[in-house]
Amino acid sequence: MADEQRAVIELDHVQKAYGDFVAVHDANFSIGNGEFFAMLGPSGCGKTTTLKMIAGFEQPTAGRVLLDGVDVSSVPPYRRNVNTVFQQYALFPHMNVFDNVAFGPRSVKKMDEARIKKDVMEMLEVVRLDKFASRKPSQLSGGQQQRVALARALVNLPSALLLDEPLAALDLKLREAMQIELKRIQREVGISFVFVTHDQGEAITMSDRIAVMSEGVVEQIGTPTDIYRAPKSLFVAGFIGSANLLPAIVESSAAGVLHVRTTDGVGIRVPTSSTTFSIGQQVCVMLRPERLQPAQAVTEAGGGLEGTLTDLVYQGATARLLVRQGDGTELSALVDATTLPTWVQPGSKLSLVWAPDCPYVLAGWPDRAGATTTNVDHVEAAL
Amino acid sequence: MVLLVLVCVLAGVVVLAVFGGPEARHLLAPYGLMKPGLLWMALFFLAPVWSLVRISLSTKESRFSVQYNFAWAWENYSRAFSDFGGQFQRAFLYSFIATILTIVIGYPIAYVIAFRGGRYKNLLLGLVVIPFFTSYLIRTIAWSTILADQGPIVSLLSTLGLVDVFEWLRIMDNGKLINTPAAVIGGLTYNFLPFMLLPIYVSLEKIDANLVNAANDLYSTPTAAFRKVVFPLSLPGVFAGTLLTFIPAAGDFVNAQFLGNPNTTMIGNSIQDQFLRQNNYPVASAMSAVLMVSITALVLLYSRLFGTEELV
Repeated sequence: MADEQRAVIELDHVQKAYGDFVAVHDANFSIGNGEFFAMLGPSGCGKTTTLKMIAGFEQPTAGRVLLDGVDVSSVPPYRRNVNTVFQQYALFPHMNVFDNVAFGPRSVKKMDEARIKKDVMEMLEVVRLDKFASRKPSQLSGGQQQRVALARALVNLPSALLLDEPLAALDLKLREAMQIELKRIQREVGISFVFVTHDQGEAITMSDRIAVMSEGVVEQIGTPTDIYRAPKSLFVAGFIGSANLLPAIVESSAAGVLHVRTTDGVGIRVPTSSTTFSIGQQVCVMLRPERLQPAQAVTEAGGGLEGTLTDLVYQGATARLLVRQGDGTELSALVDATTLPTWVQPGSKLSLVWAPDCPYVLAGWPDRAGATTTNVDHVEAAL
Repeated sequence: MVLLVLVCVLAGVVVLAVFGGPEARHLLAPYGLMKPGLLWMALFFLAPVWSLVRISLSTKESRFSVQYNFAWAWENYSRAFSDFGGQFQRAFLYSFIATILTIVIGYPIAYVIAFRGGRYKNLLLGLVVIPFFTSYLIRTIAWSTILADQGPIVSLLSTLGLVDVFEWLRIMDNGKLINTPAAVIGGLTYNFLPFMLLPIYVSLEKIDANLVNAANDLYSTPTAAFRKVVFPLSLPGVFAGTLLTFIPAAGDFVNAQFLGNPNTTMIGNSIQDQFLRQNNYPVASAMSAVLMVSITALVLLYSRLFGTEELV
């Protein structure tokens, strides 16, 4: 149904500055037809500003925004064929659900009321709210209001639907249900969804492609798998999923394999196809927690990081191990709780080992060595 | 009489609460909390209204007496209508026009302050309110100087040659701006403007800017967004402002006294005159009662037409 080759939205070297402050630097990417595209980043990264430029609420200070191949950089929002689902939904409180959804079609003035009624009721069925047409928004729950906002935008059959943190106001259970619901609705209507979020889990589960943004810069664009497995920057590595980041120096490089030594003297063999690393360069080794396994430090020699188990957090199917190394670096491993050996107890000495294809290398040293998401203050500062 | 009944009821409640045991006390506690309010209303609302209605149906013992005898004297009411019908009409007409003018002038100002005020919002609101730190009387008398025949506005108009236009608009009369109906209406408009402006401001200020964005996003031009979203959501403010303006304006006598002429007197002037100068309390009371009832009726009709319960 959807020809993903055709770009619905194109950002052509778009920049947005407020005085001296540059909110968005040189955003340059396109979003395909029928694609579920997420813009992900901590607050203040420019993702909402980018969305507003697509919607028309903000004008770029440089570059162009193209919709269906037409430059709309200076076109006001009411003449752009995109619709927005606002963060707090922005439903019209003085109108009932039906009138809210009919607002867009009635503003266009091309359709007769009978046709509008049919379209609106169809769309309310898609979001499963056809029984609530005569209710006021204040009489609906958060999730229902959310779906009214979706229906109100989708009934206009826009080229793309823009969603600004649409799930942020919902509680956890509802958020998970709405993620699935959003995917279903998107498949059903086949319209491109551009989704702004600071929740990396949400972006990974829902999107076809993700643009990770930080401080106004698009750090990486790719499928969730690409971004998770091969982050292009330390920021992306730390922001998507959790990771153990270890500062290291390149010792030697051979065909497809890099030998690095971490700052505390552990040699690690990293498979890489990249040839950009030179001997003596400062790099960062990324080890995903779910690829690490505990091993008894004494019996298995070599190829591991040694430390003391400080915490064992049982999470049902999985367990998180927090291991503190001699120099205080904290590492995290996510293991299968059912097969966890009994000797793994808080206080026990162990080493964390991995499969040969696990290590991934990035240029530059991380700000903090060790696991990325174990420190509450650190996480809060990032968001 | 009424007062006596109320006091008895209150005393009964107190007796029940003191001697009725814990259960009665528990039951009566919420009503106990209402007591200060009830007492206040009884003393300062019910009792005066009762006495007003009684006097309006009384007759004087003699022309110069201040003694009244209750006598079901309905003729006071017929006199109120027959002798002061013009004043009633003018009171409602002038305050109606003034209310419309306060909406026309106050709404745009409130809109600009609420949506474009930015960090100057509080300063601008302060500017609206500051003149009202001066006494109502002084402000009204100041207007009589401003509108005087040798005053700045009349001279400006004659310099610009606009006197004829203003005469044609019936704003000026025989080259005079002061002592015209327009001056009275203007004074009412000026004096009650903040009572319209502030409630409108409050209701506009509450409107989420994203609602306007949402309307724009759904293909409404800024004008259409105002018509379909902002204006309907500000109607509670217009409604409140109308009540706060129309009701006191209809009973006002200060503006007609200082800015009007003998042919522009409003019912407030007549009531004041009958009470304080003619010492004719029965007719004055009858006029007050008619004014109260008609305002109440108008307000009820207005809120019915307005459908206030439909508003957010």
